[in-house]
Amino acid sequence: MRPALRALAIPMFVLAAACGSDGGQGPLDEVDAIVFIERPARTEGLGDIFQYQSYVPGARLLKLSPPAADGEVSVLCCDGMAEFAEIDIIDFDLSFDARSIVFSGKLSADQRYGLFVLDVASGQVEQLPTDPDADYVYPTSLPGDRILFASNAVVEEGAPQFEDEYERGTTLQLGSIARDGSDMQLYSRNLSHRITSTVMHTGEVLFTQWDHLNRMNAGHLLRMNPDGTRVREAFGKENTGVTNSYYKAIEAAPGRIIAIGSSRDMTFQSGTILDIRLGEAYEAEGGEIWADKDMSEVNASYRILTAQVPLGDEPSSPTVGRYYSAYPLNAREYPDLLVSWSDGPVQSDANGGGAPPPDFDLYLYDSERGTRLPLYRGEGTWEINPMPLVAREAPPTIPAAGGNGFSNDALLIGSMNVHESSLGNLPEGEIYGVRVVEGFSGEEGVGEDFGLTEAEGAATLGIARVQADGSWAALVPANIPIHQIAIDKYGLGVRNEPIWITGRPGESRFCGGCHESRTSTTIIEPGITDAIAIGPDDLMSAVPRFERVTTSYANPVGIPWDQALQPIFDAKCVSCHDGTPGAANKSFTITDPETGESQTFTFDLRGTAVEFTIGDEMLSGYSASHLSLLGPSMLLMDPEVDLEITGDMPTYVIPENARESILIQVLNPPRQFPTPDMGDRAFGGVTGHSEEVGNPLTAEEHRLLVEMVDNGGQFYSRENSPGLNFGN
Amino acid sequence: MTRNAHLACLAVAGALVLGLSAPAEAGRGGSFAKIRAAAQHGNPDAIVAELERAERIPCSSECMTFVMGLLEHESHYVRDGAAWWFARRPAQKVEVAERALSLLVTGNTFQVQSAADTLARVGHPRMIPELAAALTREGIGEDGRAAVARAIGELGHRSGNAALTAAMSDPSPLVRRAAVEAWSHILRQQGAAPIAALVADPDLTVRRAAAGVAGRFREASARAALEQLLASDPDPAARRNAAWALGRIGDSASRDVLDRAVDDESPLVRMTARAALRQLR
Repeated sequence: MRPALRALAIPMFVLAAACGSDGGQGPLDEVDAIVFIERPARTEGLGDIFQYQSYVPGARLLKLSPPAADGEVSVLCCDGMAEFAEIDIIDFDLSFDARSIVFSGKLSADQRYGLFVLDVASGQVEQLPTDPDADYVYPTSLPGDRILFASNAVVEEGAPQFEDEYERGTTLQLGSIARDGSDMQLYSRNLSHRITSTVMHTGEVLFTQWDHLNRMNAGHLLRMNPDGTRVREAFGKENTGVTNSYYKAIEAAPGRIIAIGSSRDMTFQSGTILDIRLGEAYEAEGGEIWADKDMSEVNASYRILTAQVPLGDEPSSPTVGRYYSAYPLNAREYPDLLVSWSDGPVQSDANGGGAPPPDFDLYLYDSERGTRLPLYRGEGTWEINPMPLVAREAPPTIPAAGGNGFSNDALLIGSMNVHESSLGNLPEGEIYGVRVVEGFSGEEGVGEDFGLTEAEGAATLGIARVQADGSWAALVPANIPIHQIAIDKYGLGVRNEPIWITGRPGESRFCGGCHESRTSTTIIEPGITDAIAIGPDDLMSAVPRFERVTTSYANPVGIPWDQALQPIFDAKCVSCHDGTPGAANKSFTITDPETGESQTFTFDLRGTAVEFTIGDEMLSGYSASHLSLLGPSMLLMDPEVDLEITGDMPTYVIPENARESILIQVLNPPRQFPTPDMGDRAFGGVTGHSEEVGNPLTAEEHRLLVEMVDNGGQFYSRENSPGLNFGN
Repeated sequence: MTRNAHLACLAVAGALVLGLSAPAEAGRGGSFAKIRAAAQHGNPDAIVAELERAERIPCSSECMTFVMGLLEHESHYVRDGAAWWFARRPAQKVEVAERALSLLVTGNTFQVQSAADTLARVGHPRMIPELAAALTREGIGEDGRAAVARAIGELGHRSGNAALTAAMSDPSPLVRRAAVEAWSHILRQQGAAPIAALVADPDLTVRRAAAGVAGRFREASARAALEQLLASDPDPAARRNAAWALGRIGDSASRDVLDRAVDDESPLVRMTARAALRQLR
């Protein structure tokens, strides 16, 4: 044992302010001890909030009793145990009865993070049985004696785990295991990370998901049942947020969440403290503020509890610093918090490269006065994730949902009425069906980019027919990211919301409508809708991952640009659109204002490798046709790109928006569904550009072009993935 | 309040306003100047963050040369980030890949290591023969050879299996382990027969890795070696991995050795052995 407070150099005004509270009962009066992690300080490996593989040996689980600056510190784990001599610990959680602790630790550089259960009274530790070739982090106690975790283990046997597009890390997904080591379950997969979770008073789980679909790229809070079903949005997406990412969430009172908010990167996984209300806030018994009425993302709000901490990635200021974690001790209007805080910039540029790392220590934070009372500081270590060593009331166990009634292996998805939408009701009869698209990342042999687009890999699983009552239903493969696009009879997307949904085998995921109110009921009973009464469309629900590819362009799955589209351009377009400047081939010029260099590119639908450079950089290694249709728009998307783009070439393709893309408007696609009719065109009349120039496209060719745009404008798909197809 | 304190307050207030006005997007706002500044400060996390932000910016020849230099940064994280940055630029990707292929033939150990790290991001399966040749090049140290094995795994194509199998006989345990780990990255990989022999490798990190990969692929030919590992290896992590793998293989013939492992002296092993017993057929 050793004194809790060593060599503290706390500014006197902080101490004075902390001691100057109202003199009533203190927030830690009922707490005998707190538990926290002592982790070696580091300057690298925590570059963004989703990184989990930083390893520096020498971490411990410590107890401070009483939780005060003069309290005694003792080691809970794992001094004196040979196997744990070089452990690093990333996170832990206490069981509801406070008798055991589950923590995530890495025993040596060549091993992965695993899960360990510590008996608090005896000090005995047991490792849970996890895949030694995968990492298991961020454990959370669940009711029913289970443990939730995040892991890069893959639920689909034989499939590679998704790699994140930016940080290139193998993504974390969620799963759970019984505390006795039995019944390991891995949940469905998002295209990017799912991390840090907490259990709410309802028994639901709140977690952070990195959402990335086209331009969206942020960490939002989502809710789900503890068995991984019913994943849905909670906070941060629909303009309810204040910064890029929200994480390390903990429920302070029903519907009221304390979380860290920050930039995605550069802040050592620390930031400002947010008081998030998931629903309508009201005063409950005892003066607590609850927010569990009408919990829905559109009703959510927030309050910043540490006003001066930067919300972006810039260095913080002296005495402001950043917060690594915050644990609510009560649910007052301005709650008291156990926090881990570091003074200084707490920013990757400023801490590192010879400068010392941040120094996170433990404090009691009064969020009303903005004062910190120091509790414990280590030497050369971070003290993080403090929580009281007290029993908590376990939330109710949410029973597993019944099966979907159609398949134990597939996911049932659908809507009760697609015409109901908070984005404006859609006219009856306008929607023919819903195109269901599977997402995947470059780990399937594609590499780092799917083309001159920000969209991920896409494979159309099929089109589910909307029935007379507006309902639709489909069976699709479980555990994969799914994107839904409501389409009209021309195959054009009517609603194309940038989100992925996921679901587990046997689960039913029905929404009320198309981006409808999240608080209305969506319980679906057999026979309640036409789609269920008729039976769901089967959209490759039992087809293995690598066989979900196009076998006929009449029903495209992936649309490989060079194989599916270029032959169309070659046969019917390049006789005019061959890069020769003129009315048929408009041009744009890019000028670098710094150097004055410029180059002009002329519309060209040939498949030749493009040679278009600005300064010393060639802007596309794809084909001239790909650059002509997607390049200019992608360049213009980034406001930070300091280039002047002039000329008369318009943006022909807006990824994921065929309806407003000039390419599609000019071609004027024909009716596709239920049967093709070249005399019925999407934008009026009976012809399009291809007929006008004497090279009419077929209905199948129109469909390929429309789906290419609505699915994201990718050059690569599974069908032309270099890694999957080379040598075959 | 001093002038500096005033400025600091203004900076914080400004940052707050900026933060409130642009909350949602990441991966934007980069520039060559920011990449260079981060490299001067020297924190790999910051350098990579700036590279990520600058994924789409046009880049002058000075900028290109600078980022090219990061492909040989001392930090693997930075090398990987720079290679990713080029991989997002398909035209430069070709040039960078050709340069890396050349270094595989002419470079010293560090250059081969850097080249392999680059090819892991910008390479193509057709480059596997050149990587395989680098594995056996005279004078290339174990760090270079291990990076080459990792790169073959990252390319993920089954045509790399022969080279990885050969690397499993490398005199360096670092290379053997890298080859074992790379094996499981190959897409549509069928089995792990070449791994079985390494379950009894003299190096404990190789044994640990081999047991894990044999389990991942349910490699039945490794069962006897895994049972031996579980029964008598002095390293608890190796015994744990063996127990896990035997559960995955699921052969009831492993019941006795798993029964004994339930009482293993190490807390790493016992619960894994119990879980493995539940998986036996």
